[in-house]
Amino acid sequence: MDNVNLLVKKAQNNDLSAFEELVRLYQNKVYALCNHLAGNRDDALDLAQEAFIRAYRGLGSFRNEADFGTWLHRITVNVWLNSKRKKNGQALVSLDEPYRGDGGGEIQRDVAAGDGDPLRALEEKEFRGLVRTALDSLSEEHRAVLVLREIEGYSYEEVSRMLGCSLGTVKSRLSRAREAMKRKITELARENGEYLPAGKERR
Amino acid sequence: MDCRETQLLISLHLDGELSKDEEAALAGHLAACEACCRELALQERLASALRELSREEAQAPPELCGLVMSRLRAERKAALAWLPAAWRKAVASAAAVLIIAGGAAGVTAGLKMAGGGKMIGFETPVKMDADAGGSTAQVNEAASGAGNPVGPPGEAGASGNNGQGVLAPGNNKGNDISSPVPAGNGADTAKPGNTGGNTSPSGQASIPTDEPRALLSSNMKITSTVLKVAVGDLAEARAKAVALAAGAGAATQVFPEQNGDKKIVIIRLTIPSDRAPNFIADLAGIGTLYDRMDESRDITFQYNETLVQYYDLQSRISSSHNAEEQRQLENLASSYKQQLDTLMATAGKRVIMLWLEGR
Repeated sequence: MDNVNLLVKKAQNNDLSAFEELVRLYQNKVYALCNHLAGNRDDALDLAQEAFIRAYRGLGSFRNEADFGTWLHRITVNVWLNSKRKKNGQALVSLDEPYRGDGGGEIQRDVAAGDGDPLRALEEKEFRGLVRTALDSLSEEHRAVLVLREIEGYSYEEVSRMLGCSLGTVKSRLSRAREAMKRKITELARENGEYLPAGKERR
Repeated sequence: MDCRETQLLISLHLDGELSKDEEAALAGHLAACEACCRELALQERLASALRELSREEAQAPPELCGLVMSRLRAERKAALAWLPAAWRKAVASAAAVLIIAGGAAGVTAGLKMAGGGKMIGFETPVKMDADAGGSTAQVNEAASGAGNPVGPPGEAGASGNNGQGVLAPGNNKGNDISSPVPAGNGADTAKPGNTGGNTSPSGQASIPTDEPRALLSSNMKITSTVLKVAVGDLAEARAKAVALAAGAGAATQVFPEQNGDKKIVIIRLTIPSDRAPNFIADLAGIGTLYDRMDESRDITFQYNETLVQYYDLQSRISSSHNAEEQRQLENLASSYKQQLDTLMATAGKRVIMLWLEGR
């Protein structure tokens, strides 16, 4: 850690070779997150590059009390979200909102619809494959929160700092993301013909 | 508690974020609600599958680091492009100091001589890209061909002499070059410019100031080195650097600079190339060397371009009948001249930018 601090300090003084060392140390960590967010290798490579370059430019704002890897992840997720927003040409707002008006009933029925659980029949390996696909189909904000919490294992506190939102938002967004995940994977399992719907399907 | 609320509790439960009371409430609901039990089971399965994803190999592609670094280096190079320009400016102001101290030798003399007619023929000094002999011939041609505004040879000679009179005081160093100019004689006038390429270090301040120059055909290179050194005591380090420079016979200029709340001193040092390596090692020893960049720029083109523009200005000055316009043109010309001088003085030498930074 001391070593990292020293390298960071050097890099902050425009020592490119120190920064190169940091890139080497953290490239796998950053790339892993990029891969989970972007969902494919090409985009992940682009994202990782961009993240490191932003990190270099933003080195001045890094303070030593934070973990450098977490800081890099924070930059990475923000670069990704911003690029998605730009691409979509609009802000990804309202993702925390839409279900609110739906009332709780839908959830209830949705949960109840799991009677003949299409997922039960799936082998673990197939299941994981579907999880990957389902994750990639989620909205950016849901994907980000799930990836940070479930895959990267960050605490609520850390996630809220990384995404720049309140703890309450993290909690509710995670819950919704999990819900969305479940719907998606159920839907995928059905599409894959693993299951013939017995009940009323809700999408 | 309804199933909707339970949804949120399940999520929090998975993350271990529930209080004891909340856990109890959740357990109570689960005992009575099969759907939510299934929901929990599914969510646990999803969570573990997601965690499984994190264990997948996450080797960054080998090219990642190289891609990042080459982009950053390219950016830095672009950012560095300002440096030589800044140096030029810095040197120009230093040259101004020298000129004041040394008696207005350079710029004014050059301009006066030019104004007196010596260089006026060069309206289109195209392609004088040769050795002394070649350029001399062309200079003569140009001078006689387009040289109408020069006036009769006698006049040119007179003003040339005038020019020399002005020059003399500041000329102590570059004597051999500038004094034996038979005024108005094109054959000789071209030479000094050519020899200027490999001038001796001692002549820096005054050499290229007075004579018409020839375009350079050979490579004129400025080799520069940026050294960044972190030091404990800035003032002490600065004194050390200046002392080292004096010992090594390097020309020195100090630019104190503020960078945010960091104290920085930049010292520009010029030293003959052969002495540079040892000198650089000495400088690096002042503190902790944390960055070094070497750059070599071929300034032949830049020099020639500036020279062409300079000559063009001279001819405009002499053909202008408006005093105000002439003054403006002369100011412009003098800045071009300073650039030429600086370029000439730096060629073949090593320029070291020593960046001292307090720890």
